Amino acid sequence: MLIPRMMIRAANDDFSVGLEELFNAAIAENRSTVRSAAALAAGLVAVVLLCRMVAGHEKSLPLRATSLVGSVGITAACAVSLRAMIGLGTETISKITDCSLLMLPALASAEVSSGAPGTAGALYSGTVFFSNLLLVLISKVLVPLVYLFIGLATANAALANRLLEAMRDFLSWLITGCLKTVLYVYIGYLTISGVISGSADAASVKATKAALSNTVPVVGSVISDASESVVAGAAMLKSSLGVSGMLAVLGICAAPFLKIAIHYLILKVTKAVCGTVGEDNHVQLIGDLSSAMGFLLGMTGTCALIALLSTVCFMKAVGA
Amino acid sequence: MIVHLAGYFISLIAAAMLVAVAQSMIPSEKIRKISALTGGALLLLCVLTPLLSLDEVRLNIDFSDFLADSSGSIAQMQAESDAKLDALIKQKTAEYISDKASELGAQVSTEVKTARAEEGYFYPCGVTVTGVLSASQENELSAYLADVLSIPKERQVFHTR
Repeated sequence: MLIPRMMIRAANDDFSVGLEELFNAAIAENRSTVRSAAALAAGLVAVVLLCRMVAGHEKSLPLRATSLVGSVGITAACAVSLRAMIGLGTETISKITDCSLLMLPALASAEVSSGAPGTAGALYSGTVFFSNLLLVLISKVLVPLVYLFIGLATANAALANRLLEAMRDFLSWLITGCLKTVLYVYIGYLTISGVISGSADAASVKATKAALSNTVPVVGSVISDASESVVAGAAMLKSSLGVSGMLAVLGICAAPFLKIAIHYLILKVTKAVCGTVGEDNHVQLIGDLSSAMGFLLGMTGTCALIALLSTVCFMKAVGA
Repeated sequence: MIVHLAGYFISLIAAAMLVAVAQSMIPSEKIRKISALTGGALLLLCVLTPLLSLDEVRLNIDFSDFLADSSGSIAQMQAESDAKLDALIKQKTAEYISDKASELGAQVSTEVKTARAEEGYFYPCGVTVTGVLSASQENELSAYLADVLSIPKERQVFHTR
């Protein structure tokens, strides 16, 4: 997890500087990942080539041995990587959610002090709800579905069955559909609640200012000076908390995201390379395994996006 | 409900895989067609049976697991913010009074009381002034408090030494 001293220093200096240092560190941490992914790709190409060579000498049977053995061999070769990436993805999602839930009360408190309690309440409860919902959905439903998808893809490659192909496509649609739905509903909630609560907060602030203008000048000046001090302090706190929070979320997910992305891209490239020499079902299986990595990227990205969006909304919400 | 949903999909996929494996192991084309029909019917049963036996308990999602007690938390944050604002108003008002007393040649310590207006803001409503003041200084300060800070005379307390 990338929350080293340099990130804390970067948060004090400049967001862009912090971001640059984060991604440089993530790249440095993943140099060995490229080598291990390349070794995996070489192994997969070897399995595909071997199956292709043997398939030529095999009699045509309802259940071809090369299809079966090749499919199981490809999945077995990827098994360790897949399991590691799925574990890494779920761990990262859990850490992002924990980080987000730790930051939220402080951001909400600063937002309330800025004179926007309605916005703070709506953002706080909405973000907590969607973060917890996504965490439970991913851990209890989507990750088991990813395992099922891998199993279905392997079985389909081995047996070439239309039913299995249809179920595999359905699972793919279901996983991406769930993630998109949660994200779209959350963005819709942010938009609608921002308009409603922002209007209510602005109306409340307007009413208070109008009432203050009717007080004697010195008292009005004392009250407005004190309010401005609190709001200015809260704005500074929101800004620094927000930047630190965003850097923390990016620091948590940068290296794991890059690791999973490297495996995803290497498998895509392997699929393209094997497409010239391999059997169709084996090439399709490698493509499906890269799709499984893609699902993990989607899950991690969705969690990170919810955390980042909520932080930006807190920072952008304007108070008194 | 989410756990039941995951279980539903797992059982569906498991049934589909069993049907596919069974179809693949049958060598005869004729029997494979019959097994496809039987397998499809079995799969349909797997899809429909859990849906037909749904009840309110299974459909119920306990949203309290996902929600924070945000209304209570926000109320507490608002109270903390109000307390900070109230303290600042008292401090600034006390500074105004001390500055005026210094202009009149007196050194005083001040304790300001605030009240909350209907519109939600705090305003100074009472003051206790402690220090060494002559009668004229006290009268002048009292007039200042009433005219400039709108603190009525009945809410002004002077402890002169």
